[in-house]
Amino acid sequence: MRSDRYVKVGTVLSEVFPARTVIVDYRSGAVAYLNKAAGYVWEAVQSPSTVEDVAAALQVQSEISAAQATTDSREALANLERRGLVTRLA
Amino acid sequence: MMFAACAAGRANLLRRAEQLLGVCDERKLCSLLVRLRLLEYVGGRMVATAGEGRFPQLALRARGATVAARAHGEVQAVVQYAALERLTKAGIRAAPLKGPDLALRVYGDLGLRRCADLDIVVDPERLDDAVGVLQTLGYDSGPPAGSPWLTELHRRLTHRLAVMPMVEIHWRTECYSSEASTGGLARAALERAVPDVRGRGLQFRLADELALLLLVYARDGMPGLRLPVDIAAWWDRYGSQLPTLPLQEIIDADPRLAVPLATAAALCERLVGIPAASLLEISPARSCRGQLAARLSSAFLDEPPKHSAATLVDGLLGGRATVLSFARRRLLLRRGHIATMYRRDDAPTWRAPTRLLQVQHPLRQLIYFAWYMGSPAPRPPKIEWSLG
Repeated sequence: MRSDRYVKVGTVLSEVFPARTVIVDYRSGAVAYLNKAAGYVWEAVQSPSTVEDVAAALQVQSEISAAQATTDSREALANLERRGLVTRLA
Repeated sequence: MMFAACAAGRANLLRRAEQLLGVCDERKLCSLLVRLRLLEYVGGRMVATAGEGRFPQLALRARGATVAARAHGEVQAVVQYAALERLTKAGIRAAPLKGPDLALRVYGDLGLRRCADLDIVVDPERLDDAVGVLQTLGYDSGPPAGSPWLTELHRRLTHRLAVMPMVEIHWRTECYSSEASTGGLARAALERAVPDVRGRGLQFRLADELALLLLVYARDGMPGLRLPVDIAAWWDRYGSQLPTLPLQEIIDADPRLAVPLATAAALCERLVGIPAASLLEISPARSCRGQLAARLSSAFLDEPPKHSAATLVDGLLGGRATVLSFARRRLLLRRGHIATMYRRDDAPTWRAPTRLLQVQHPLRQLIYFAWYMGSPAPRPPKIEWSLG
C-alpha cells in the first residue's frame, strides 16, 4: 500500500533560528516553535513527502535508529497536522 | 546610562557603574527600565554585573521579558522575512529598518530588543504595489491611524490576527531632506542599498543605515534611550567598518540634514558615548536650534510625556526650510487626524467637536511652545565617557 504524502500548507511562513524553527500560519494565526528534530521534519515537508521520506531525512540529520526516526516522524507529522500546519495528500 | 552605553563607554566606567548598582533601589530601577523599554537588554546587563542576588526581582523580570520578547520577535522576524521575499519577487525595492532585523544583526538575540511593529522602506512609486503584496499575507490597509506626523511617512497595515505584527511601509522616514516629498534620504539610501544574499529585499549601506536611525530619533523628538541604545549597539557591531566621517558625505549631498544629524549624533554621544565627532562635522549641533532641541529632549521619558516638546524638537531640527511641511504635519491637522489624536487615552477627557479641536490644537501647541521656550529647560544628562 502506498503511504500518504504530507506537505506544508500554503499559508504557512517559517524561519529557522539557531535554537529552533518558528512557524506562523497567517490565515489561522497558529504558531509553532519546533526543536531541532521537529525542524528537520518541517524541512522535509517543504515538498510532498511520505513518512518514510521524512524518517530517512530525520535519521540522517539526527543520527538515530530507523525505528526511532519513523516513530518520531509520525508523532511530529500528527502534531503538525493537528495544528493545521501540514496537510495530507491523497 | 552607563549600562546603556557603547562598549568603550561601559568599559571606561565599569567600576563607577558597579558602585552605583550597590546603592540602587531595585523597584525604582525596574520601573524606569520598563518605562524606557530597556528591561531585557539593560536590565539583563545590570543583573550580569551586580549578580542575581543583588537584584532578584529585576533578574526574574528581565529573564521573563527576554523569553517573551524572543518568542514575539521570532514571529515578527518570520513575517518580516516573508514580506521582504514577496516584495523582492514582485520587483519592489524594499529594505528593513530597525525591527527584528536590527535585533538579530546588532544584538544577536531577538529577546534583547522587543519591537512593536515592522518597518519596511520601499520605493515611493511602488508604495501601492507594496501594500498589495502585503495584502497577500492577509494584511489590511485601513484608514490612516496613529500620529499624523507619522502617517505622512508610511502606510500602516494591520492584520485581523493578533499574532501578526503591525507593518509600516515607509516611503520616507523623515521630512528634513530637501527631496522629502519624493522620499528623501530613505529613497537615496534604497538606491544605494545592496541585495540581501537570501533574496530578502535590500540591505542599507552602513552609513545610510546609521543616518536613517539618527534621523528617526530626531524626527520622533529624541525621546527616551531606546534608539540611542540601538545606535550604541549598532556602533559596537559596525563602527569599526565605517570610514572616517561616514555621515559627512550624506550631509554634503543634502545640507538640510546637517542640523538634525549632528544634533542627534551629539545627543547620542552625550547619552550613550558614541564618538559623534568621528561620524560627521559636529558644529551644526551647536547652532541655537540644535542646542535648544537637545535641551527639550527627554532621555528618561518624563511623566507626563512632553508630546509638545517632541513636536517642537521636530520643528527646530527642520528649520525654516520645512516650516510649511511642519505646520501641515504637526499643527494644521486634518479632521481625520484630529479625531484619531483626541480619542487616544492620553488625550483630554473633554470632548470638543472635531472642527473646534482643529482650531484649538495649533493654539494649544503654540502656548506649549511659548511655555517651553520661556521655562529653563534642563540640560540632558551628561557622562564623561573618556573616549579620548
